[in-house]
Amino acid sequence: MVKATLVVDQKARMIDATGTIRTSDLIVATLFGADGNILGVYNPEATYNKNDKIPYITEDGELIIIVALHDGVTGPFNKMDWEEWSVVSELDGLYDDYIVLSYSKPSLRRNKVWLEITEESMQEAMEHNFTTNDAGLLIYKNLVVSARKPTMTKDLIWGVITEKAN
Amino acid sequence: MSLNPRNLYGLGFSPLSIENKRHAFDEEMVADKRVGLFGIHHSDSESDTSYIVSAEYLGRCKEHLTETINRNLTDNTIGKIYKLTLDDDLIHTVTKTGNVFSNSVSINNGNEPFTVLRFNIDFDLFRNENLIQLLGDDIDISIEFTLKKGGSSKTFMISEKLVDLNSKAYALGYDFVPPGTEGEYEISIDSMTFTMPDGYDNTAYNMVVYEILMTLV
Repeated sequence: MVKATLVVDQKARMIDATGTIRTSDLIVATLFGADGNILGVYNPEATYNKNDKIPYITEDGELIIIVALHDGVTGPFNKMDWEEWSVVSELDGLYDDYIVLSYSKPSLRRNKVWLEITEESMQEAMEHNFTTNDAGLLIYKNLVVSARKPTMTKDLIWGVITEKAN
Repeated sequence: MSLNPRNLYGLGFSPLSIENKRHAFDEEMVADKRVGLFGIHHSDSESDTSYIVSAEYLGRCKEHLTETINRNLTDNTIGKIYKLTLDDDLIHTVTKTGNVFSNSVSINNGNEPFTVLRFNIDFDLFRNENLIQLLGDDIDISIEFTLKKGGSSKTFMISEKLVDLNSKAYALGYDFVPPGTEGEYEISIDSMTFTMPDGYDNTAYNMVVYEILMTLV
């Protein structure tokens, strides 16, 4: 007799205890995705809540993941309800605990990433009228944002200045 | 005392064929002699249950399942994976063209429509004489399935080369369902037909289906 037996609910396995698709699985699906069926394309009859993620094909044909900005997103698709999601953006909430920004090396380094601030990067930031936020400075020794590419780029992330901050 | 080789006799035995497992004792070795797959038969007279355990078969199925999971992930067909067992034996030998389903199997999805269907069949095709494995490029497979919602239903047919089936996913649509139709979504797999090439000689060749996995999204 022919029988069908459920072996694994693969989608359920990808959802963690909070009901969210695991980031690692989402990354793999995003990297190797082809036709936007990762989590189900936008359904105007469904209601999405803040932080829900769906695939989206941009006008350039690029597959990205977009995240809902608030609860109750439904009806015809409105780009204003969504923003692009990235793996890095998931780390926004970790700065307080895991990333230390300072001139001097913190005495307690356990489980922390330390980004060293230098006077040179501070000076360039001031010349270009870069603003700082209340939490500290935005330029680090190993992350340089400048108009000209540094001569030494080993172990260094360089971001070019394209416009002045408002 | 010297040993005269002419007085020495070998002792050989043939394990019980898996087709005769109903005659097997508890913990008796059984074998599918067509492919040399061994297993241990377990039976419990009190509960009147029996099953066969095979480490080799388990290992192969695990590898097949892992491959299916990874393929679903990269192809974004992430849903539920079902195993379709054709009969009570571990593997199924295809000897000639025909439908290997003795009955249809149905799966209900409640109020959620099925959107994608795909199959992953683990099979071997080899020459008995020298165990040369063949790819099976000229074996065709046809799968008939029916989508249902409430009182509406429609039957579809998948026809592929067997070697192409595993890499494909089929989008399911419900255009045949009139708007406002109440009822739950259901799919039934009605038949699975292997079409062997002309002149296929099942005494010289052996086609073995180890496992059929089906993904429904």
